[in-house]
Amino acid sequence: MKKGESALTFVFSLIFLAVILSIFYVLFLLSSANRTNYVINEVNLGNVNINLINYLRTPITDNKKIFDLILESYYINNYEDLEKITNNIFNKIYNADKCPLWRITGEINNERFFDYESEFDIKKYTLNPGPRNIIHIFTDKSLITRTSSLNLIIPDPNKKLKITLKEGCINE
Amino acid sequence: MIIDKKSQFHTTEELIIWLPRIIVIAVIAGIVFFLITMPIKQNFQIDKLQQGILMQRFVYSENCLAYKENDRIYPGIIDSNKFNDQNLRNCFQANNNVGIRLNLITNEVNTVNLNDRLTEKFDFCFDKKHFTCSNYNYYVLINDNNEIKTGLLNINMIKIK
Repeated sequence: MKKGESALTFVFSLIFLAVILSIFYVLFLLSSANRTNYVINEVNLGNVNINLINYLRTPITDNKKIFDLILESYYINNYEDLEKITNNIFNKIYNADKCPLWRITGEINNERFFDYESEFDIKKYTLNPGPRNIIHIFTDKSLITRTSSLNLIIPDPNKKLKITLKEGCINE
Repeated sequence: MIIDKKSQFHTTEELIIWLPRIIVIAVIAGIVFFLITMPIKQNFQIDKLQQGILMQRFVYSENCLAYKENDRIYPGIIDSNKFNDQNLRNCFQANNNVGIRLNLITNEVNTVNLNDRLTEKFDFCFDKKHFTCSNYNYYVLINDNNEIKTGLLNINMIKIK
């Protein structure tokens, strides 16, 4: 009997230990799942978009820059050259794999007069119909967008020109 | 040490009686611990921010690539004479945890590697646990002996976590 009772105590002690360890393990897992993860990618304070500035000051001829072409296109109402050059520049900067989204717009007195953008497939970055959707609302790749605007002075004092560039790059 | 049969039986009996109580106490202690630690488990990842700031240094700083004329610095306009290994090493002030590959793409591609030990490891960027990588194209104007050309400055960066 002595032997049997001793064995019983030992078995109960082990069960007790296992239960306590399991409880703490479950709570530890729950606690880890609740960890908040902040990912800071950039600070936009005082950050001028170099791509936008350089686009505007790109020389087309010796005396003409893209900024001049924008104004010229507006006044003669012919945007053919502007569209061609703009698409050419931005498709070169933002390659479709890493930065599939770009959009540039021009406004005079809050009225949009040109608007060009990349061929961007939004479906790739929205809800994924796969079974992993329960956990991942979005696909593994998310798109981080950044918008930069420049207010520019033009010869006509009654008009205000605003050029806005939106770019979207994949955050992997 | 001699323990009689009766006291051993009592110990087992006591243990069985106390087992549910101890489990309840453990659960409560665990929940209290969980609630206390939950709000302070916040993790800030600033690797990409650091890389973004380092990238900007190349196009904004006159010590790096920015063109300077009559005491005026033109951020985004690159002085072609500054795009060399020596100047970029001085500007970058080698950080052992960061490797950078700069490609200046015009009609030709000029490449400068900073911290070769790490730039050889770009193929390992898939390992997000150990490396943080960034790749960005700046559209730049290049002042090549007073002639303005257009090009791309591709900055590829790798950092050990």
